[in-house]
Amino acid sequence: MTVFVSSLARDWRANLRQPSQIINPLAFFLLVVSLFPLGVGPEPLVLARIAPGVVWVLALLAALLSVEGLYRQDYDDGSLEQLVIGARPLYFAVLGKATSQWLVTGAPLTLLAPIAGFMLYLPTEQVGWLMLSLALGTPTITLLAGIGAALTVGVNRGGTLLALIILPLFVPVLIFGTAVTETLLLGASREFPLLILCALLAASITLAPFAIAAALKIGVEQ
Amino acid sequence: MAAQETVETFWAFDSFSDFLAMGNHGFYVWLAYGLTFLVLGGLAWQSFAGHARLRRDIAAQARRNTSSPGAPK
Amino acid sequence: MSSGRETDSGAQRKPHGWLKTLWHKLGSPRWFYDIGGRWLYGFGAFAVVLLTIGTIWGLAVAPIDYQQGNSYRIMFVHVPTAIVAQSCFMLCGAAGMVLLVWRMKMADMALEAAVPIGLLMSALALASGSIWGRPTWGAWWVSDARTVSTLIMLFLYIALYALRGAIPRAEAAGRACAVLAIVGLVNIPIIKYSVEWWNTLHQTSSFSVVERPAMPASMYLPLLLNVIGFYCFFATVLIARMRTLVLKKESGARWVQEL
Repeated sequence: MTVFVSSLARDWRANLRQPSQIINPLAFFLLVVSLFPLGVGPEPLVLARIAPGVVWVLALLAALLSVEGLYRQDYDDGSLEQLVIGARPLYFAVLGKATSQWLVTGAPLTLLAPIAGFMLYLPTEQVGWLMLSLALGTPTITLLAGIGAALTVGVNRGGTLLALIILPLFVPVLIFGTAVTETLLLGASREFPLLILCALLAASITLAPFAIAAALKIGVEQ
Repeated sequence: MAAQETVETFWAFDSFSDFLAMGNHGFYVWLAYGLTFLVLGGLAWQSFAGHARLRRDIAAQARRNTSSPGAPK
Repeated sequence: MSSGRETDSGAQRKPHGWLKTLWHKLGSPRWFYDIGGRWLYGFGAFAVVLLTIGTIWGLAVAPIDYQQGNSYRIMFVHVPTAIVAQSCFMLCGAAGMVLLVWRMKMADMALEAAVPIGLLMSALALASGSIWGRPTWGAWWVSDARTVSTLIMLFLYIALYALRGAIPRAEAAGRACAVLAIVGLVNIPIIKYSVEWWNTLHQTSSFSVVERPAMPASMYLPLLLNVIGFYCFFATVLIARMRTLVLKKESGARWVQEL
């Protein structure tokens, strides 16, 4: 547990030293949301219909943008090697890193979701559900993205490769995440996709750190 | 379609031109089969040619390494 | 380095000794190269015979479908490619596990050899499915559950292929691919389930895939022949590619020089 806390704290401090890395993906998120009315026309009904999907897809892309450097700096300055060799349960160290990553990407994105919702005429009563689905889904996204980031840690310009690896894995979260907000339009129950999002989160917390740890070990060795 | 009630034969088509036409679906059927077997053939060719090329390279390498010129295999 | 070059003498005496022997032998690239060269012809011959009979049967002998007409004949190549693409993904995941747990060299080569085949098979399944969809549903692309999950599988194959190409050191590349193959194998059922659920949620009535109640033997048998034929073809190409990889990776070894 101390490994978890120390890893979390260390990354948290490192993130605060570089605010641009936190702000850029969020700015990207809001910027692209503001492009959609220009692209598909300002009709409120159309925009409200596509709003959950747009917000969710952009959440995936923002996670993709922010995760690329997750292990890169540690890899370059050699502290990743120390982590892989030194941290006793690597599982908790990795989980701590993912948590601090989520705190600077998924969490602020969830808090910004209402702004995106209003820009796309999402009905006010839906905004809370959108935020809830993002709060449950983005941690899973961060963990899955971490697998891709760990696998491509030693690869130069691994950006498109990273997208290729992790975007297919995001599909279940995307489907059930948007379903939470869309079910009202389609007339199905909300509990089910929410429960599935919880299940996906639980599964990824237990399994994804193992995959990340294995990938980091391989990356450090090369 | 009208001639379907004739004698039950082994073949599903009455003539070779019927077979090629596939009852208006010829384009789709032949496109799908052509594409599939083209890719299959290409894959098999590439796999075997790669092996043969490598064998030749290794044999050439081995001949260069052994100082005595007249000792193949 | 190679775990499989131990002697078999100890394994022979234990129960299931032959299994253990086979396991050790499978770990030996040289043994695989020799025996694979013989299996290759068996599988290759079966593939040619089965695919010839199955395809001619499916194209020219099987009766016309009363609903779809002759376009249903695409099924005889579409279904086998889809099945083989899926099985190939499972093989990749299994090979990845064997590589990470036992560090068996042959598993790495199996994974490396299988990925391009699976990639082409899933691409073929998508292409022939789309060609079949045009006369049947009136659209080249219909985002139904099977199409979408096959497409995602294709992307995972591309990711596996690209990841191996991107990592310079071969051993690290192989193990990274193994991790990704296992992650993919765990995720594919979840993806499939979620896409199926998504499909029922967005049930638009513009089309519906009617499952035929029971396929007559005259349609089922050629399909079966082609499925087995495609499996044999897969085995042939897989072994051929693995043998090439054995030669490439063992090119410094003495037995390769003496071939």
